[in-house]
Amino acid sequence: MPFIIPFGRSFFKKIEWAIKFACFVHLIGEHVTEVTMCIGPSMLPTFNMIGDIVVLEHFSPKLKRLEIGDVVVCISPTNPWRAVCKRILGMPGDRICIDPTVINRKYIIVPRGHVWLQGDNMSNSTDSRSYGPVPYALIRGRVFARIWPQTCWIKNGMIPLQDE
Amino acid sequence: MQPTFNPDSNKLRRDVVLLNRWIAVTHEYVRGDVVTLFAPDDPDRVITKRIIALEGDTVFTTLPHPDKFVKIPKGHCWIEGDDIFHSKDSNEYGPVPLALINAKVSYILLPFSRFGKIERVESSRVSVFKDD
Repeated sequence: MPFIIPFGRSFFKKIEWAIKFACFVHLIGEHVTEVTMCIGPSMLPTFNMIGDIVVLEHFSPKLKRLEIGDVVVCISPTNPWRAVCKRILGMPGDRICIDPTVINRKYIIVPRGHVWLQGDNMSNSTDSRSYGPVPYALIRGRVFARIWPQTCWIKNGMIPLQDE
Repeated sequence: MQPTFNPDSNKLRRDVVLLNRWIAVTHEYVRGDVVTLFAPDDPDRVITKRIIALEGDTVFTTLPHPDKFVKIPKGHCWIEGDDIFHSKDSNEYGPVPLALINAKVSYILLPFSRFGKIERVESSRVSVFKDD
């Protein structure tokens, strides 16, 4: 095969290593940790509107270790191409008030295998209040750190209510 | 999914099928396709159902569902098993998000007697939304 000879053996070795490296990067991004951008006003006090670069890990959803107060990235139930970044406010079995500001409050019990997600900026956020509880299988990962603009850990925002 | 997969002629042996994973990337679903998806009520279980309706359609439901008919919201679909009397499907938990679907079942490989492509079967209980 004369047309291969100019490349030589080392060329194919390089291609092999490039493919192996791409597979490794894909595996890490799919199962260990991932860097994404989070844009929009829905998480406003926690994340900026113009976009933050955050890191998420895929272990917590797989090991079922998510708790109320964790920030997660999940696929939007209304658009399978989009991912959204929200905070978990209810786990299966919890009784949740959909909107506390109206007079006739409505309550919902989160069904089995679902979570209740809401943005931190409740007045400008499309979340479980409009599309209902989100299936657990749609959660991609838990956000645990922000890289840019300020590097910091994102902690569970749950503060227990204290009796006076 | 009894008449389509694992019929009584199988004698309790399971079918081996070929899945098309690419459809979970393009999200081009057609009414009547058989798909596998994560169960909405249990993230560890993968179920096989047929897509009955896509977004905008109106479905006439069967019994466990409280409403007579349902309009499918944006980004959701209505899925049902082929054996409607022994199937836990959208009639129990309502429309499911398209993002839960992870593959389309395209061929039956084993047993050889039923080898072949899986046909699309459209339901008569749907009024299809027409977009001009």
